[in-house]
Amino acid sequence: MNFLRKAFAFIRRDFIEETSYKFAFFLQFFGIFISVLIFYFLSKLFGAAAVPYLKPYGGDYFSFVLIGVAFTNYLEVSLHSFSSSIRNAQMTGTLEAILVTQTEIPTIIISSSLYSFIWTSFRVIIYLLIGVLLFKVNISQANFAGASVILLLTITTFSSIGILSASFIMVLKKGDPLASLFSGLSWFLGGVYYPIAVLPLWIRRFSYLIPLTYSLEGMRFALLKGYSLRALSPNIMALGVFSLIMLPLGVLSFRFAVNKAKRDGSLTHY
Amino acid sequence: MCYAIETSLITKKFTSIKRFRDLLFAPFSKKKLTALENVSLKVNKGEIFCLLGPNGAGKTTLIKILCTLMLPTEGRALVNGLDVVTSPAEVRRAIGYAISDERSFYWRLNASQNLKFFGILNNIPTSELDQQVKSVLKLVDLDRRADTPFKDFSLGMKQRLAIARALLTDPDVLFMDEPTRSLDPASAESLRHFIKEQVVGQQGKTIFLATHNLKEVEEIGHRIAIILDGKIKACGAPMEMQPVLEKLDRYVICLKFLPCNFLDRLSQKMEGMISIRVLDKTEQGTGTAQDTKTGQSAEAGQYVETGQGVEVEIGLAGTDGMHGMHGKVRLEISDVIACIVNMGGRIESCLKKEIPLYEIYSAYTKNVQAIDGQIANE
Repeated sequence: MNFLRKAFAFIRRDFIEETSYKFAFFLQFFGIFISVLIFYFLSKLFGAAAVPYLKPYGGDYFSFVLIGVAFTNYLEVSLHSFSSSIRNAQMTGTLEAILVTQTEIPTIIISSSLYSFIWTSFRVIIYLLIGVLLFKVNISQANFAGASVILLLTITTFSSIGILSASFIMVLKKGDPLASLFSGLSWFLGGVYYPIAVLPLWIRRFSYLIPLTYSLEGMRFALLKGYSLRALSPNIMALGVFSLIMLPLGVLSFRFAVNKAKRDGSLTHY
Repeated sequence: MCYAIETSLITKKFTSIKRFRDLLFAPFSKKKLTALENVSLKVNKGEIFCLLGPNGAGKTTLIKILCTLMLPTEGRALVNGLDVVTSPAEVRRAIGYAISDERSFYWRLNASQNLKFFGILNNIPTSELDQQVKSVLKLVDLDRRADTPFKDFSLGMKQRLAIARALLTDPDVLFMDEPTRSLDPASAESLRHFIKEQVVGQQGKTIFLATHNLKEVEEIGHRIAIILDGKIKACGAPMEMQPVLEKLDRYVICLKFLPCNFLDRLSQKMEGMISIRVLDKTEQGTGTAQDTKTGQSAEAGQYVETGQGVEVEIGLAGTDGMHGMHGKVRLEISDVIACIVNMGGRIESCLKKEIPLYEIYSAYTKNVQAIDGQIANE
């Protein structure tokens, strides 16, 4: 209960701050619309050329890329929101004031990132609404329960990596190697813009080491093809294994980083 | 007795940032910088304790350790009897930290929103939060500006809001790091008055205040610790600190109807044993201080006319503060009084003078520099 109250306080704080920059706030909607338009016309360019590769996902490139781009937003926010919330607080000078309160550091880190997750979910909904309402993306068969399970595991896995990345920021302050590397590899190997089937076999093997591959595939199967939970189980299992490994690793590394920063006296440095 | 704050041999060493050359030639070497060395302090409940020292002396490091934002390398620190290393959460419940950095608030939020946010993080129940926020805003005289965005506050208002935030949980101990930094003299004065009268006088809080502002310490400090290069050089009330130095005994003596060239003759007679400084010609009351040089005080004779009254400051031999005198014979004030009376002087009053803090502070600083110089020579 106390966690929820604190989490809501962080969300409210971020909402007031974000909406106080009104022009930037509304500009984000424009950005979403433009990017959807770009992918729509790209899909027109490909036409039926890419259909064999897209057959498992329903055959339509626009639907494929829309879901890829929309849900990769979660990867980005999970990877960067924890570390950027620490870095922002270090830079603006509010971290010290927060750390001296009666709130534990894990609560602070998680709550600081919640607004970004909510905003990302909002963006994903807008992506899908524009796709469905304006560009006739077909999600009539969608299995939303399956998609939700995939989404939950996706957020857990990516957030674990994000917390690991925040540990680097806590100690190194800048130049976290993990997030950049993981983000770049995910965009390349995870099947955001193209199905991994187009990759040469030896590269494709590396794709299966990336959680995003399972997330996007599972999400496309659930939303575009309406796969049942049983049919989605390989993706769910893979993401579950990633979560089980990454979550304890992220939490332990973060605890270690906080203690190190306290010992070094660099907790609030930037 | 349980002190509000008690530190025992606190040492804090930082690993210095490596240069590129070090990364290449000595990647595993760990250069350490000592920020605090064996700091032991005791702060009583309900007092204003000032930690005085120049920039980089270790004041903020000590506050951060006491506020659980940093771990000491060695030693032990207790706040309200709670160990800052083993019970950080409990310590944070007992303290308020008035951060003087104006960036520690959210600029787009108003005063009330800022305080409510920090109040929730401090576990203030929803039912009490509104009332508590209103109450601390009223206390710092910002209740009429509750809805003003923080960005529109003046520096003085920002500092007051920082104190309001620190008071939100009604803590026993308040830490303040240079609370009057960047404030104009009037705002600084007002804030000092507020701390002394409201926070300590009425609320009964213990204040641990780090500053390099001597005026501030003199005005509100009950006890002082002088910190230099991470070491505590002196600790106590200003009067208690004086005997630790070389003797700084000074007396203000009011003389009436001075005989001819009296001060000159007194200087000559006690050459090397006292210094004389004319503070005021009591009958004319110019208020102009005139220094006299010990033993050669022609100016004193010219300045003070025969038959006139005068107020003089007498520094006893061994004094290191006024004219750099180093006497060979140790006098007591009774010897000086006897001498004045024997020479025909009439004493109206004699009071021991409290040594200004800046002289104590600079004496310590000079001593440290002298010791440092000696070490360097050796």
